[in-house]
Amino acid sequence: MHAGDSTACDGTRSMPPPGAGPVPVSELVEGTSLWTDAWRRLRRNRLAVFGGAVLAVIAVLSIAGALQLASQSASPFFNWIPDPLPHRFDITNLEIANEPPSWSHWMGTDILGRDLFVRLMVGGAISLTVGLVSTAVSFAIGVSYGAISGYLGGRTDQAMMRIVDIIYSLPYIFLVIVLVSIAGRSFLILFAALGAVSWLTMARIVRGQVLSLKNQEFVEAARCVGASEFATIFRHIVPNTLGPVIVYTTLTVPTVMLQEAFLSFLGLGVPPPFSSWGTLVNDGVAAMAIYPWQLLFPALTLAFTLLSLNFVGDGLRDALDPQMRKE
Amino acid sequence: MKRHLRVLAAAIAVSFGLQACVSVGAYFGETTPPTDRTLVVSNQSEPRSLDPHKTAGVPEANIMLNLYDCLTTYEPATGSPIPCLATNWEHNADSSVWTFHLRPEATWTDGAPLTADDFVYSWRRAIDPETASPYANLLYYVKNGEGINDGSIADVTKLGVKALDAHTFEVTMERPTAFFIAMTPHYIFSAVPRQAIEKWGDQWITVEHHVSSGPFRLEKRSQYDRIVLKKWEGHWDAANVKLDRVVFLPIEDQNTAVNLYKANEVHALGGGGQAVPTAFVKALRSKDDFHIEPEYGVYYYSINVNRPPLDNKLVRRALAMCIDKQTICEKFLGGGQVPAWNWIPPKTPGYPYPDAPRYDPDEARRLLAQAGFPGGKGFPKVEIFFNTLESHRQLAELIQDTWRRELNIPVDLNNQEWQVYQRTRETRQFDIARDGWIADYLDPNTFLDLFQAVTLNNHPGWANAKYTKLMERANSDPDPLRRLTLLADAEAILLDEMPVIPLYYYASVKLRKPFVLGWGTNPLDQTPMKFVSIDESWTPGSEAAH
Amino acid sequence: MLTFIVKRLLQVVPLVLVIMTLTFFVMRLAPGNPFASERQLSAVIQQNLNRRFGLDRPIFYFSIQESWTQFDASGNVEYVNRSIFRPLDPPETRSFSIVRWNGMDNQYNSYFFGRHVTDEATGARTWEWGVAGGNFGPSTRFTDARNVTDIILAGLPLSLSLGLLAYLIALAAGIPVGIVAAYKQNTSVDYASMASAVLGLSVPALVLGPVLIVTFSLTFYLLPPALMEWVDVGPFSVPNIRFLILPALTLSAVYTAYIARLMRAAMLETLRTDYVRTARAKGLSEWKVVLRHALRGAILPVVSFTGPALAFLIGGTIVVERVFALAGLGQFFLQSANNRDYTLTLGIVFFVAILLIVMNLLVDVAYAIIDPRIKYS
Repeated sequence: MHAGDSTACDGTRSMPPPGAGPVPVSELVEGTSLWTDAWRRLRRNRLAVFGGAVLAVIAVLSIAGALQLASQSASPFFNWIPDPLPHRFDITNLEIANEPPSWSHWMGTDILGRDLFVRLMVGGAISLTVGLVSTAVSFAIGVSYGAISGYLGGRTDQAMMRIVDIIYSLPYIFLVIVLVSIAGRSFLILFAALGAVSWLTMARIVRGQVLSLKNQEFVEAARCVGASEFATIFRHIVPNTLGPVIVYTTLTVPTVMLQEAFLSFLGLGVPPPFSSWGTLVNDGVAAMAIYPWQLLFPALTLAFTLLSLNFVGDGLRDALDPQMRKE
Repeated sequence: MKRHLRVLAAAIAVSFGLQACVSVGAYFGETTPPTDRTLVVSNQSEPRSLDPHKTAGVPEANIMLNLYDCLTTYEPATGSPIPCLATNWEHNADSSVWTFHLRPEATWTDGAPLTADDFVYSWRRAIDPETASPYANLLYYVKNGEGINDGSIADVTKLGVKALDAHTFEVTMERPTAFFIAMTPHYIFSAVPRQAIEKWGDQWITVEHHVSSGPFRLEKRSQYDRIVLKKWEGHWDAANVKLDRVVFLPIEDQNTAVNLYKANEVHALGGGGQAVPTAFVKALRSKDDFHIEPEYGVYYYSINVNRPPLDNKLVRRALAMCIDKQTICEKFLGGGQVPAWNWIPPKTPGYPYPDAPRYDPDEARRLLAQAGFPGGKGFPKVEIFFNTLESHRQLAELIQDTWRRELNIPVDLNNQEWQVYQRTRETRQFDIARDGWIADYLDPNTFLDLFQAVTLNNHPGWANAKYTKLMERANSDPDPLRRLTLLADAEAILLDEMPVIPLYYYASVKLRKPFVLGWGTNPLDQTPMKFVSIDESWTPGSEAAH
Repeated sequence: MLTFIVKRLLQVVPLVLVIMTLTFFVMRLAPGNPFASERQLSAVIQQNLNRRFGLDRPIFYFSIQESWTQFDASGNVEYVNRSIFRPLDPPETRSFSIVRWNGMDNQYNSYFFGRHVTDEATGARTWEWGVAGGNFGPSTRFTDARNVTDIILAGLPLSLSLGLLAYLIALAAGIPVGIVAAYKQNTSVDYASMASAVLGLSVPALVLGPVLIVTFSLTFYLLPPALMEWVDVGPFSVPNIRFLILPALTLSAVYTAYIARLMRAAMLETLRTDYVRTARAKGLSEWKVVLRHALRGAILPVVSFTGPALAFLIGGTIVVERVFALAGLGQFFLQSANNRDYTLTLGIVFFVAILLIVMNLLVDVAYAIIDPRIKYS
């Protein structure tokens, strides 16, 4: 119905949905790709830049935590690394237990007299890795599964969605216990356990979107000009579902981080005395009535990270939004 | 949104601040006695069953103690057995035959008289493999008990119990058992109503069919919500029972229980052991309604004595001597727990405690060097296992850090889900494992017989011929004092070999409103509600009169 | 559409059978037993308990058993005997692997279908139905309850009222907030609502619950701190709403945040589609445009999300039930998992699975109603 729909097949950009109107030829001539274009717009979004800056600070602190972990490791490959932090995450001292924030311990100490700030940094190294990797896994599986299911439709869709129903319904706690007792304690299993469930809702959301998009004109247009099914799904349909998907992805990160604490409960993932944000929050909850800072700092860190992730996510969404490009 | 966060932070700070303000004073939270003589107790968990033969838990014990009378009951202050259904009893010279004289006026709630035959029936039911009672092992002290329970004796009537007449009950023991009377208040030895069980089968336990014999009867039961006991006016001791109702709430979360207590919705924290979260202990210590009582139980680490280098007793002693239990109890636990140097908890009457190794890191390093690991060199990595719980984890982190710093030995920590952990411990797939033992009855034997042979709860897998022999001699000795001396000799061997590292003795850490009177403070943490009352006229400041 | 619904409903039976069978085996693979306690039970007592609950029989129709010898670290001979689907035999000395037929009297068959029970006194054989006949068996954790169905029915009223209330709160708060935020994109209204949504997410129920209790119950004495009171309304017993408010708020926080964020994102997209433009061009009022036209297209992701969410709100609210000491299905599920109460776990899984499948069916139906372009053929 629009002339612009034919540009769907130019291959360099995602397909605008109906209503996007004709794309100015000048832009086509410039040949900017989707990503460079998006990057330019992302930089202009002040909130996204702010969020990115906060994330960068948190990343730097977490890397410092990771360096301490490396410096303490038994492996000769890493233990030459100097420890950049003034305190150790694992050395206990009951004489200074539960101290409120001070100059020497900026965030106070925990019940065993360990510096909370350092534990937060070490925890950041662990939680960010876990959160980002598992979310990426969940994103990859969820989007492709949901898109394929929704696009193919019919029996395939039904079968694929019933599999999702089955995985949803299995008692997760037993799956994890069995995983641990068979495969033992390891990061790989942790990612598997976290990724195994977090993609389910994602798949359902993407499928719902695809179901509604696939009969629209631009998809038919893509098909009629001979785009392969793979290209139709991933180049034309998926980019148009990205709004809710990016939002849901940023929402998955904190869920996964807190879930990690539950999995440590079942004996999976990082063993004590290593900290993670999830376990720090849990410990803080136990002490919150008497030593509120033990909850406040981990919870605030989590909230800030999450807030920044959402800003970046929203910025990314806007930047990738094909319809916003000309505004 | 920054401002938003600040507002939230302020809100949290304010609410905690307010909480702190409100709790300034002699008592924690609101303190107003109820006027309907109804005591509300938080009870940790929903009971598995109210059939005394089908459960083995602490929350159940707190309830059943009031529903079913036993031969004896716990004296609230000391926990020693005092007459209940049995008015008096005697035993023969070597304590192998016990005779109990029952109270003739005792009846069931349905009016049937409660006789010696009821006890014969009940104890046979408890030991019958068909019943599958998890606590049947306490009846193994009775003649043929073990044989009947494991199926090698098919005839249940071979159990050493006999009704000499309607009110005389005789028990023949498997071997001389001097401490038997200490066990008799335990609910596994209570009488259950034959008439109801035979009529209703498994359904006898429902509120409508339930028949009981204790000072209270079952009035209401809704799962995971509440259990209400009502005073039974027909009880032989009803004149002395001062409460009309007792409500047991199955509250799993300690913080929730403390909240309800603060709001005066709960009058006493029950359940076993520590009922107040560790974080609260310091803040509540100065309150007059906060109570710490020592318990007859020990928290310890089991060491797998079959795994090198822990098979060397020098190593085990070194590890044990390098834990500063005093500081742990004062600075970390802070709830009145006592550092455990000996295996047997303190203040056992007449028990001559042997010397135990104390905290001495220098001596520990010397022992470690003597064992072949000077300065911790060459010491392989050992792993401490525990089931996932904050306090277990924190204690393990402390000990890990201490051993690494003082002895320079590498230690890993491994937490497991509770059932997985059970498996690890049962199959001895560990180096060091967290463990705990709480007495069933007030006698050192309940702790020492763990190591009589490599069985069940002997998680270290340690056995010692001399130890076993001493234990056997002790328990067949008719002289109580000589018996305790022999037990102490056995404990000395245990402390020398150190298959276990006792860490601290448990304490009962509870909140109890000042108007609750007569609560048991015994080391078994058992309180029969018939001794408890509510002072309705209580006002702040009036406690001086009591 | 009707054929579609009927077809889907017919799928429920095999689907639930698959889910429960998988659960059945996953549970058995997990270490532990229903009678474990801090103090270990002797083999004899354990055996007696197993017999009483029928757990001494083979687990499945057949078993695969392998045995072999190996040397452990110190050179001792060790016999390894592994078997799948049945209790361990005494160690064997030679290495072999066999598949053995266990007969029809196995735990799987009697749980799902039923078994013959012989009365010891009369010798009469009667057929006792399993799940196929609506009998979910006795619970090993709550032994006084008649059967698993009773326990689930006992926990259901609370879970249902709590879950539905939280669901309504989440929808009632999340959808308008999402719409307004999208409509006022990049204004302070947008930022404030999205920031609070993010806070709702990063403050887990474990924190939010206690904070609400301390504020509303222990400081201002407005609402009860925990527990539940039941009010008789005619033949029904319903929860007192005062007791339900705090737990429902706690429970809904995360879901509100999810819905608000999803709603905003989808709304932003729809507001720029041409049919919304057309509607505007027709001169419809802004309200009509947003609520009648844009909302329809934007609500799909929210619908996808809330389908499974409702099932989880009703079936598994463990943390909230614990914090507020409520007797709902979450508590029962936690206990059943911790205690390896196989029958109770399966009963709850059955219930949640049905709930989830029906919810997802409703979601699919809702798709077609909301968006006429979606067709199921």
